[in-house]
Amino acid sequence: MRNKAALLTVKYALMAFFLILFYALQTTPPLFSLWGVRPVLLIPAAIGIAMAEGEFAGGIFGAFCGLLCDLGSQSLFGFNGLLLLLCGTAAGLLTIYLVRPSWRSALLFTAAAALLRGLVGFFFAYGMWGYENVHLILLRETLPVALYTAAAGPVFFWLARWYRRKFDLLLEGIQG
Amino acid sequence: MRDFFSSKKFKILVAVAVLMVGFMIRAAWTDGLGTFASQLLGAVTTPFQQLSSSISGSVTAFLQKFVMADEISEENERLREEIRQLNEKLVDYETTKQQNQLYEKFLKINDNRPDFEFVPSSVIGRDPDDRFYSFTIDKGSLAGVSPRDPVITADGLVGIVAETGLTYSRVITILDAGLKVGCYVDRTRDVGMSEGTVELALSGQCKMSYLSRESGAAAGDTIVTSGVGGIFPKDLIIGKVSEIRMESHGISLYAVVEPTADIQNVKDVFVITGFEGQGDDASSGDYLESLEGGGSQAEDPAGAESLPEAPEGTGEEAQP
Repeated sequence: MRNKAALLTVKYALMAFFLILFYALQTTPPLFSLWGVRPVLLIPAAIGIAMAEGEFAGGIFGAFCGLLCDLGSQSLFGFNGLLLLLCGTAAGLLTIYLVRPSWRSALLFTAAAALLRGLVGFFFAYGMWGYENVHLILLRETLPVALYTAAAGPVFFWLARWYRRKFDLLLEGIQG
Repeated sequence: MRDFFSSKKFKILVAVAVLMVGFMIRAAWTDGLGTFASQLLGAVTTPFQQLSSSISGSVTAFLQKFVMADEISEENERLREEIRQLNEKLVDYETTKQQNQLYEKFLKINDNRPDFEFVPSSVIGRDPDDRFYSFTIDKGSLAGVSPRDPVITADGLVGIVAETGLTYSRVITILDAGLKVGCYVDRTRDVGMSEGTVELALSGQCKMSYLSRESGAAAGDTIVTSGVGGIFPKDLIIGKVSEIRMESHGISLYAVVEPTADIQNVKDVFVITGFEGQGDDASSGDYLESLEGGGSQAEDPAGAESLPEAPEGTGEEAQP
């Protein structure tokens, strides 16, 4: 029993470590840059975890991913945390009750989360202030970033699923 | 689904959501001051970011070589072309600078000797095997240079043109054992013959032979050409006496002469293609009387200037 708890602690601690690593990669300037657009890696990571681990882990790690995003962004600290908590929880619940877990659903959820975060962020940062030609930001930055981020969804879905299976086998070994 | 909303997990998630809202309110309230959570997260993540940035910088720099190979190649070509053009300009500049220095010297000599006709030229080659430091210059018969034309620098006599081609000439120096130049000691008026020896040439010196035993020449005296024989103009400085020695036969003295021109390293010279008294018979020399009176050259330097026999054939054939 103690071994199982220890293994679960290791599992989630390692997960947190990997998320910090993804955050570092996400905020390193030239990495993954395509025509100046870079993905928000922590969104597909949160969605992948939610789809693999369920709504609770999805919500908690979504909040963690969001807080990491908040560290590197100009938004209010907690804004991305709240959004990704909601997205993670929703993705976990939908995977359990409505949608079969697959790379397509991962793509869809990631796209939805990235778009939601992008659009809400765009509204509060630019839209509501009435700047001129503000649509250019939406077209040239917000939407391309959301699309690029969505494209990373399936990759993180497979990674999260592989990670879960590895630890499930270890847990079975302990219990067996 | 209904179970979830009534579960403990849901309540925890709601609590976390409230916490997030709390973070937002605090962040808005404190106007940019980070919360404890943000500072903690920042402290944890910063080392990772630094590491990632450092690794990324190195990897990007490495990959950029391949990703931007075409661009770098083009830039490289462009820069090479620029360097080539700049080098050309630099060569032009150096050439102009050297020419300027040369013409300054030319002007200086021309002021002193208005009867001289000069052809300024540059040393373009040296024979590495020639112990008398002969060299090739970049002017030949097309520029009016002829065999037996004296070659000088602003510092003094260097030698004489031994061969000419159309665009080059070969010069033998006053250190050459085959070249004898009638000369005298400027202070005492003692006459003699400047010539090279193998031994002295090694140290860049030559000798003034046939000094009488009563000669008052001493170290530091200036040796100049006598002009006898019409090959060299009169009063060209050859060098300075560094030592007076007795000849082995004991009949006369000789002076070890340190040429004033830097013969071993000279780069630019003037060829005197014409001067007053050029080609005159030796009998018209001012010092003829004192030099005449004997038969052989060894005993009597009255033969004044003499040259080694010119090689047969064209100048081109004779070029080193």
